[in-house]
Amino acid sequence: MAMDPQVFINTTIAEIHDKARDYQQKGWRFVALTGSTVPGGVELLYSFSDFKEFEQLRLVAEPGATVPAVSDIFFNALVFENEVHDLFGVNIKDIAIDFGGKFYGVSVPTPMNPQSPFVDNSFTVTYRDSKSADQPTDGQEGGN
Amino acid sequence: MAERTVIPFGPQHPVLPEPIHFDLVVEDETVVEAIPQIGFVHRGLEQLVKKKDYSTFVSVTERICGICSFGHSLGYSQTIEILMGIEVPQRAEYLRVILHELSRVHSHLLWMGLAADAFGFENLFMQCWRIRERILDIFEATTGGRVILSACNVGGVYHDITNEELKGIVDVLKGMGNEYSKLTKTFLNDGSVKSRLIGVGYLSKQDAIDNCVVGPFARASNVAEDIRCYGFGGYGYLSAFEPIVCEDGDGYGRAKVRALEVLQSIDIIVELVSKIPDGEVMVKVKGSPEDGSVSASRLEQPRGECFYYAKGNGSKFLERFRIRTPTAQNIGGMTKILQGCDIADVPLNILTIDPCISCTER
Repeated sequence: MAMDPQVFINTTIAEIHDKARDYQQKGWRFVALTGSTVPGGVELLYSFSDFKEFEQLRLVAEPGATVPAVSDIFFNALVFENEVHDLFGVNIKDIAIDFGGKFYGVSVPTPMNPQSPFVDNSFTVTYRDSKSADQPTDGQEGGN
Repeated sequence: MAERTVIPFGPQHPVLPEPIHFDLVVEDETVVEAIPQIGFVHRGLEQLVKKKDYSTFVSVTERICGICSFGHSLGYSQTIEILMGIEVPQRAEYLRVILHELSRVHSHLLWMGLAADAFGFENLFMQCWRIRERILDIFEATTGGRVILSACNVGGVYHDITNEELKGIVDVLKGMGNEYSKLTKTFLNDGSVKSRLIGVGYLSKQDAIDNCVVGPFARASNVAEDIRCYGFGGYGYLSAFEPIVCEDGDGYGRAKVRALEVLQSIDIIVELVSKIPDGEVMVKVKGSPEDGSVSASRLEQPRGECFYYAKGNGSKFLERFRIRTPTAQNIGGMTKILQGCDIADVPLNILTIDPCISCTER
């Protein structure tokens, strides 16, 4: 049974933008950006494809790190960069359209990385109806 | 220069069954910029891998979307099979492709109906969905489910479909052929359809490449990319496969690609039924994914390439599972086709890429 080639290449934050540019200049396209928590921070997996060829660049963003956006090269990456910021709390610099944490309407900060050291966790619940602030009903708590 | 105004579009709109929001920056009646926003119904299903073991999680993937439910279970299963080095029986590979192509047929017919409904052609809408019912009947007869099939899992498929049943499926599909030809003729030649789709939502080939769009959206802009071409899984048993492309690049081109892909899917099913070998349909899967093992795979869903990633941690629970759906990938291209369009065409433009927000908000 033929399957997708499994190519995973380790890289660094400093190299990721240039490497994404290299893929673009070779005519490859951006497939996905995947975040996952690892002991040293958040692992970011950038997937690129040139038809049958399929490669993944892997880096670890340590706490406090800022990762350069690749959405200036591949515009559609902005969806995933905002997602990684909102769900994992990774700081991404210069996203083509930066929603500033409002891309996903999350009710708790960085839900897929609850102990994220990347973001300010001083999250306060606000209520749409000030009268019900003391007794929230029907899941009325607001977002961020 | 005319004054610019921001008009909010969505998240609720009659043409959208699911929520997505756009801030449309308009000059007079022309959209000059569209800023998308999603996340209104995000479910965080990927996180459930920490609570459901890798064998049970397939039932969650099926529920990501009601249209590509089988596709997601197939994509998930093949990713775990790569992760654990599992060889699937050949007959199961055939059956998976047959069910997946049936899903594509019903998905495209569903879109054609929705599109007809959107431009007010109610009769065409009902005809599309009437034919689609036959596919759902096939699902019900062979798997017991019309939407959630529960047919696929890691290692193969749960239940065999007998050769007689497969021949029956082919008979149904061939019987549909005449009706579907009439329907396609109406869909692609009717004046009212053409007036709403031709020249609307144009995306050039270069823009399609630059925005990395996938599926019929890309193929309608003459980008010959289709994961099925690479012969992954059961697609390797096809004698030949060429993606259907169109040079139009507009809404009409996208409708044409989908209409022709229905016929292509029927041909694929007919060929595979004529070749399907006898044998087992499921292998017993033992053990758990190794700690640190990773796998990534792609599958051509009805809306385009879908990406799956899995990471094991030595237990029966995965460390991470990720799905990047075709609609998420097409959001960039969607904003591109909205730039410069008439504001009255915005709903139809969004509809022509066949967005699936429930997939995107997995």
